[in-house]
Amino acid sequence: MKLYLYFREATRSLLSSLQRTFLALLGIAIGIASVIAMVSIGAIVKEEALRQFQELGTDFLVISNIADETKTGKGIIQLESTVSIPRACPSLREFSPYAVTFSTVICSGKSWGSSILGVTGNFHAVNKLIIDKGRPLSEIDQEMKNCVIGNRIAEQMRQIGISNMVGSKLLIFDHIFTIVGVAKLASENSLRPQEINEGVMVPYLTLKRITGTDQVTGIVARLKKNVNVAAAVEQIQGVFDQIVKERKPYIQTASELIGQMNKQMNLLTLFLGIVGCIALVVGGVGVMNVMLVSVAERRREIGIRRALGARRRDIQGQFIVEAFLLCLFGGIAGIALGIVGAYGISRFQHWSFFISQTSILLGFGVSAIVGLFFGFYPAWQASKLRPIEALRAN
Amino acid sequence: MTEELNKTPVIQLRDIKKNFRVGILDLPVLKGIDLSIYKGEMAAITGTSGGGKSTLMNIIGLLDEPSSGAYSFEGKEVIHLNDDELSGIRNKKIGFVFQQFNLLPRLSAAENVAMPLLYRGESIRGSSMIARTFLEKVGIGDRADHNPTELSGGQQQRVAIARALAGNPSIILADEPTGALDTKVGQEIMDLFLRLNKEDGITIVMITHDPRIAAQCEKCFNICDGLVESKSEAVS
Repeated sequence: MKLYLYFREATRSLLSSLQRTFLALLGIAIGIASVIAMVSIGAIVKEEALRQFQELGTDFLVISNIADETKTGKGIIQLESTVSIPRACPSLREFSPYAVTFSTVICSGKSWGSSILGVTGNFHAVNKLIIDKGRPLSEIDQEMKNCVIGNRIAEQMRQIGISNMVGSKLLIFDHIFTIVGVAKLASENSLRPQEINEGVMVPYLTLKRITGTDQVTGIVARLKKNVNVAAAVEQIQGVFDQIVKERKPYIQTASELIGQMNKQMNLLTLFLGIVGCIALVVGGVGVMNVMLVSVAERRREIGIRRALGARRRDIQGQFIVEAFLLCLFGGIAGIALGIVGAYGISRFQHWSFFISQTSILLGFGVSAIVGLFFGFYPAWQASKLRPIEALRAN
Repeated sequence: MTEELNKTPVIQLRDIKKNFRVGILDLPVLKGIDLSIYKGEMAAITGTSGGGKSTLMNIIGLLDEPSSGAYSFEGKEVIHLNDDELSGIRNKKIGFVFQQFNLLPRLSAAENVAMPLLYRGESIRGSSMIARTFLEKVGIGDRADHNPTELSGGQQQRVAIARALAGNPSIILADEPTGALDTKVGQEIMDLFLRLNKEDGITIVMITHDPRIAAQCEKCFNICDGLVESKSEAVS
């Protein structure tokens, strides 16, 4: 029998029992949809997680664990002693030490506790902070009582009815500071010091002058282009070993973190894919079930066809094509359903949606394989029926 | 008779035995059947029900295998052929007509008739044309596009006969072809068989328990207790 006739016979038999066909299609569609949705969401979450780091730049680097935060006054590393570091580490392009301390911030009679960051002139640039209103702090501000407020303080000031924050005064450490800029909310979960959003940024030297505090809490920096990250980290570590004897600083680089994240996210995608595949196998078993019922119901038809001269492979072909068509159309419906599902979830989570091509290829490939795999056994069973027994069936 | 000896029979069975296993018992159903059918003959196989005539028919039709014995179809031994070869003979050399018509319910009359040709590798268009000419031949050309459910029993059996004829087989095997029809319609079908045999020289073997039907065949094998009890030839 010619191949296209298998398709004709299969289509007819699928159309003749629409309810059964629909249920089998539904099973496989849900299976494929879950694979597509899971893999797509995996890919979307990965992009989402990486985007926050990529926005920060892969050359970003942060050095922490160099201050004894319980103490005030002079810390383990003072600003003075960091000056030599860029020269000793030629792979660094930019370099910005900062200090974190804590103070009460008073504004129009209201007071809040807040982190105070003492920052150098290039701090905003190194962190790629966006200033919503006003201007960033610069080198000229050092020793002046100017400050840039983070998002949370701005929020609190807005609550007490201050809308024009630039130019407003804040009382910090009993000194009057003028707000020169308001920073935009920096994305969280990144390497940036988390106090940026919560606190108030003041010039490092101003902080040192009025409080006597001179301990570098951390250093944010950027690497030069095309330097070996691992070698650069080792180099910096070496320099710090000479400055600080007591403790070992943590050095985290964005590229290293992105690498780890990539690994984790790939693992997540793999797990989600496995969950989807389980649903797909359930769908496939559904197809097999439908096909087995179909074979049992159509034993007489098989007998008639065998009497008319159908070979085993003709019977097998017809049933495999039936299962294949079920999975093909189930697959197409599932791909559509999966994309809609992934779109819905990413919309709900405010992730930026995109269609992952891998997932579509995976969906088509897997549904074809499932169709052939789960269609094979019922078709084989149908072909093995002895003509005389098949004919006797009712 | 001398003429018969010079020809190769279409069907020649020698000492065909068939046992059925029922539990631990090996029940003999056919105990050594010898019979020959020649080209152009119209033969009836009669016998009591349970006497093994249907089993014999299935063996002749290559739907079942004998437990022992020799079977040559047009001079060729067929006992040890593989499934594909048997399917090929069923497809090209044998036309089946069943008591319950056995038409495929989802297909039109013409499509049913075309089915053996499709299994032979014919195109849809070519087989459909052949199918229509055979439906004309059995007298229901106007019902070619009807589904079996829209046809009467007699009409369905005519479609089945057209299907058996369409493949241009060496022999038509009819298993109680009038069994599900009333006497009048049954006789119409019988007349059709007789006409096909007389006018076109088609070889027909028919199982029947109806003596009136059997009497119209030129040859009659009476199967009793697993053996050919008597062989009668009508004088014509």
